[in-house]
Amino acid sequence: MGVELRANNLIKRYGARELFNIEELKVQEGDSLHLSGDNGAGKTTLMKILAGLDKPCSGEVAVTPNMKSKWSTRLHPKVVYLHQTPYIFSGTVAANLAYGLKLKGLANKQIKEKVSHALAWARLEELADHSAHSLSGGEKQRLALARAWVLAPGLLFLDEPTANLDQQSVTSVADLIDKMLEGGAAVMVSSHQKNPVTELCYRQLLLSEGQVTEFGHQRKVRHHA
Amino acid sequence: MQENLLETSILSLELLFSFDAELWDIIGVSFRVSMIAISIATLPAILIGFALAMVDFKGRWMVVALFNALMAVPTVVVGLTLYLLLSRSGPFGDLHLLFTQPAMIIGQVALAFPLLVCMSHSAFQSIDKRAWETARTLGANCCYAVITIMKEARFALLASVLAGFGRIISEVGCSMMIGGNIMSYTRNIPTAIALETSKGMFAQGIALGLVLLILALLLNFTLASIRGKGQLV
Amino acid sequence: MKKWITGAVTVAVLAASSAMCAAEENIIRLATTTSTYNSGLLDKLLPEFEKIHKVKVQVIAVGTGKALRMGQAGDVDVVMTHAPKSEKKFVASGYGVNPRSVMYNDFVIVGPKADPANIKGKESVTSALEGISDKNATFISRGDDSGTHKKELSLWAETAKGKLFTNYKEVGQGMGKVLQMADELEAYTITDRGTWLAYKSRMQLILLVEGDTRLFNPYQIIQINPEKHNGVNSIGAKALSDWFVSKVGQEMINDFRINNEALFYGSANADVANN
Ligand SMILES: Nc1ncnc2c1ncn2[C@@H]1O[C@H](COP(=O)(O)OP(=O)(O)OP(=O)(O)O)[C@@H](O)[C@H]1O
Ligand SMILES: [Mg+2]
Repeated sequence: MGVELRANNLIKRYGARELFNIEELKVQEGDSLHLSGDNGAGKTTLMKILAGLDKPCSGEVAVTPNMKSKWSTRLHPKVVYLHQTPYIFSGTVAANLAYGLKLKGLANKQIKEKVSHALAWARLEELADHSAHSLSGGEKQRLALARAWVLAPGLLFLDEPTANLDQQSVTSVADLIDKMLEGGAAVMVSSHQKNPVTELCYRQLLLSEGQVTEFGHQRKVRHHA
Repeated sequence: MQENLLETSILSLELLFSFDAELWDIIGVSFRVSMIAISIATLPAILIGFALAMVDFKGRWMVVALFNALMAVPTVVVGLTLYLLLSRSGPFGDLHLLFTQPAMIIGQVALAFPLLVCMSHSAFQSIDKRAWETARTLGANCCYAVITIMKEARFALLASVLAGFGRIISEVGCSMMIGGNIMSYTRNIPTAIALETSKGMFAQGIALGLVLLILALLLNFTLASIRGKGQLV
Repeated sequence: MKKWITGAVTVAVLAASSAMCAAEENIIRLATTTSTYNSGLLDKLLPEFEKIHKVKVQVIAVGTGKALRMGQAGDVDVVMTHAPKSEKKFVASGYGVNPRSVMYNDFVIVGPKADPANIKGKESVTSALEGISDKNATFISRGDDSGTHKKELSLWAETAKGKLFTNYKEVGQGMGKVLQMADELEAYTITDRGTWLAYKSRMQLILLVEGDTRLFNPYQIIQINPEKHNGVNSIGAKALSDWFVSKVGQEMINDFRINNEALFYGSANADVANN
């Protein structure tokens, strides 16, 4: 049961300046997209709008199946966006990983299990009880990735996920995305240069001059470390 | 009769540590009134501070400026305004609130409120917008996201509550005006000091002053240590 | 914290400036009670005296207790107060010399129109007070150690049960403020006639009891003993004291009016102080 996202006629303006005007964008189950574009092109803004964190000036974003209950102010639970420079909550590393799980209302035991799993994946087991603010930049990035991954999102937006990472971490992010795609999730990665993560993506989007153009459409490539 | 500073100070310490009933009565009134006032003011003020920091609406800067201005209003002016409102000939005269503890609480809430709004506003301003977005995208509804942000800003928020408390517990003008300094009912530390000084009974004044000084020291040490912790993480 | 520092600096500056003033010969410092000062009597009398003697009189208006304490500390040259017992002690312990009675005014009991304790027109002040305490009517007391407060306490002491009733409220504030509070709370209080006259037009309170000799309020002027303190302007103090009891001074006191009502009665010749 994958998630499908459809955006129509998205327009975003800041004052008089029109950042982009996108007629149609569709993301399907199992899609992997690489969004490229120069600094300031609007990649971050677009991804936040798609993830529901920002409002477009006009146009709409629809995610199916719509899992929103009537009175809740929650965003779509299957859609997660990860910041270019992630925000880490104060508290321990483990508490950060548990944040979203607690909101899902899982039992304590399940949360513990998933947290230790995520710690292992992010190679942060030793730091589990340390203050998350004391982590290094790359460790924070991994923590944030693990914090999003542990929620098993159906559609994950990664804004420059590899900018701060060492070789091993880049590889493990690539692995992660690979696994998620296999599980039927869709991933959109923004980045301006090619790297093992973007190479995984078989749809290549370019955001420039307010337009999104899709230029490459490779077959699904399985990456093996 | 007190001859000099030393004797007066010794006498004041005796008063304090002999648990002089009248003295501790005054201290009790002070703390009860100010604690109730601060606990009434804190939550709504912090929510307003949050809204001002996070929600973009027309005229936001005006509201911020308004609260900043209110913070600078002298306590006696707040007292006078409330006096006119609560007086028998005023619009709320029928409530018979003037010269009661509830009136003092109202006054102190009015004094603490703008300070709490302004300080919590700047506390929230120092929190990154990404904190809100991260909470939301990880599945928090608006209400829980607010709680998350409050947790992130907890040191600064606690500092603003302590500052608010410090302001109202040492405030004399408003309490005197609308409390009336009635013995063992609306007489608190600052109004008692004002009275004792005007009577020339310095020992009790100094004893009460000492209580305020110790309190100020405690509050400031707590604040400083909280700030220290804030820097550690 | 800032407040404390500011306070300390203020005290230092005040102390320094008052020391400088003391050095000047042509300044007389008079400590008197707030009620006297607020009546406006001194504003009328003192300019006259200052003109004749080419001196300046600095009036420090405080409660009686504080006025006497300032005299005891040598912070002033002369005091004019209205608390006979304290004054007697003050002179007996050698802090003051040459006490003279200057004038007297009187106290009145005021209260709400409804008069729940039914004391209107009573001739005996003690039975009026007993009426108030029996009905547990609200009574506002100055509670600030002032002459008026002391007077009130001595009157309560003469009643059968004293002031032990729950609606007796000590507020520790000046006379004007006490009248305002009594007005707001529809309570009884004892006030000097001067303040009452100044406030009555703004009040819903009415005058209920007056005329009992026990309500008389004698004022004395006492010079500070120069042997106790250096720098006391004893010459000026004596001149001021002499002038108050002189014929001119006494006449001016008798002629002083607020709203066409006499407030003070010169008593330099009849010794009311020992009542
Ligand atoms: N709140 C805002 N108000 C005004 N302009 C904004 C605002 N947010 C973003 N912008 C502008 O929108 C443009 C696009 O920003 P965005 O962060 O989406 O770029 P980006 O493609 O992610 O760039 P980078 O590669 O540097 O991350 C920038 O020029 C930025 O100045
Ligand atoms: Mg960006």
